[in-house]
Amino acid sequence: MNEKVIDLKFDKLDTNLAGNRLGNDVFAEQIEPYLEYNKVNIAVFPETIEDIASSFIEGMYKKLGEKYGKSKAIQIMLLDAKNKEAKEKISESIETFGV
Amino acid sequence: MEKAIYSLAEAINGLSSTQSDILNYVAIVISFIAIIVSIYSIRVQKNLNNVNLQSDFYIEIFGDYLKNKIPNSAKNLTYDCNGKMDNSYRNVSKVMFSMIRECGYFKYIDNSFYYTLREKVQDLDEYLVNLAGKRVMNKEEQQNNLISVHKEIEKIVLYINKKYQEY
Repeated sequence: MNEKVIDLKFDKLDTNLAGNRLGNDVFAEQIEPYLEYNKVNIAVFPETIEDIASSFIEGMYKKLGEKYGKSKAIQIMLLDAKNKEAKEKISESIETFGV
Repeated sequence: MEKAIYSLAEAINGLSSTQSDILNYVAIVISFIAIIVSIYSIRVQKNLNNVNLQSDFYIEIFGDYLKNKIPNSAKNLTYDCNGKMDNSYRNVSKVMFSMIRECGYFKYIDNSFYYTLREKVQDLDEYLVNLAGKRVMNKEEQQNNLISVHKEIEKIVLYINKKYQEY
């Protein structure tokens, strides 16, 4: 399946992201309008983002999960990060708490 | 219990031949009491076995986290010279996440405990990520922040400990 990369943008002073609501807002503003449902959409956090709370990740998947179910949500959207530690955190959060 | 039932049967047999036999009536009553006590004892033993099993699982799952992993992850919490939390703060969430993954047994045995614990761990993670994202140069504020993190960790440890006491 084809991939579509969506580069996320944040204020340069933001290094850490937390909060279910903020995750939901970021999804709504920066991802949802650009989703292509026939592709695997990969939302990429920039290098400046060093840590991401599990609550934020949950918030990002909330709308998709409610609409399509949790399994389908992960098929539609994957999260990635240019910062190695943030990338690890994403993986651990999803493995521990799901989406 | 079989003995009690046998005694009861014998007493009832005796009752049919001499109706005024007080001893047989007493034997019947005592046999009934013995049967009830036996049934109750079996139920108590079953419950005890279940409690012991859960207690064993509890120690197996949480023991090392409470004794070693959680305290070790928290002992290196500190601020660096730039006013940011040292990267070792990440170990706290790593250990807590690992604990949640390993205690999935409680999702089915004690759903409420599992999901409350999960929520507490997510709250701690969010608190840490927020704190770690801020630059704090004031030493007193740094100290207060570190104390508050330890207090949040303590809440989780006490919650798990309290559950053990119920067993």
